[in-house]
Amino acid sequence: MSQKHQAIKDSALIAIFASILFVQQVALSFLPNIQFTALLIVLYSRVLGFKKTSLIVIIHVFAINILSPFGPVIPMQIPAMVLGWLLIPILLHTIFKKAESAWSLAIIGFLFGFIYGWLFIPVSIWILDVPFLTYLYADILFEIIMAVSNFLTILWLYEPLKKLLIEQKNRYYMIGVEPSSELK
Amino acid sequence: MKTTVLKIVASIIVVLTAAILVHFLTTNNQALDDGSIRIIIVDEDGQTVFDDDVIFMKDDTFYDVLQREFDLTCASSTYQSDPTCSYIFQSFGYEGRILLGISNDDFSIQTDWADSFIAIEIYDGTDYYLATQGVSNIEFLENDQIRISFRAVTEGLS
Repeated sequence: MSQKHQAIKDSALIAIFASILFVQQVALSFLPNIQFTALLIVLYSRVLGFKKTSLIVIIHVFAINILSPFGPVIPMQIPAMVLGWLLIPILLHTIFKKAESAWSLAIIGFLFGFIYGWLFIPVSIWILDVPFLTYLYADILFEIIMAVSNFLTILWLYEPLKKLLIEQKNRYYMIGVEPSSELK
Repeated sequence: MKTTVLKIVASIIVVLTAAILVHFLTTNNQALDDGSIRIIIVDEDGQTVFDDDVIFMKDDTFYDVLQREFDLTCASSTYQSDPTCSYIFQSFGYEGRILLGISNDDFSIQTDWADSFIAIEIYDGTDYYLATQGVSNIEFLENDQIRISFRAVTEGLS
């Protein structure tokens, strides 16, 4: 496959996976912090690699803030949101590079539920003037929900989805792009 | 098989622990006895429009106390003004009404949630600090001092 075809296929793949991330998050928005986002980003990180996952995350954050029917987060919180979701591919390609099992990834996902919430603290206390303890106490409930949601989804769905995704990815890149008959 | 059993056990433990924590953190605070609290209400211009003791009865929530004394406007499910306060937000992790307006014969404060909101603060003896729960779940005790004030979103919270 030529580099050009590879780039087109990569772009399509990134767009599809970013769409899946966006749709599931919007569909589950009525449930506070219960979503498959962490699971999917973990999965993308392990199957697609750091660069593609980072691009998917960046597209997702902008899409969710521009297109979500529930509205955007305040602009000052967007960097925290980008950093929060990017933390998964960053951590999984650095200090947790060897974490491959669903158990270890589920525990990382559980901890991430809290870390993601804490990333919004600096802007909340320094720019929005929310008192630190008030924010921490009010948010802890939602951090627990996200931590449990991440733990369960990764523990149960990571391995079957990874198997499925690897198979589909291999098939996708194996199919060659033939010139059309008119051009032959 | 062993792994699946282990996963089921771990999932049950995590969900149960979280459910206990969520229940503990979302306790519906009701008055244990009859009594009174001091309510201070501050309007859009920063003027104190109400400052008086208000009575509460056993099993009252803070919302019940306010409803007995004032005319309240709450948020509907789409965050529109609802003077009947009939809608109660109910979801895993949060439950209760959202207060958008409060008034009596002498004053009226109305917020729209998008650009303004009602801040509820509790006096701890030296300063006011923001309540960590909504109007339906705020904990209050005899002689507590609670301030309700109009806030523009751009002002920040403190």
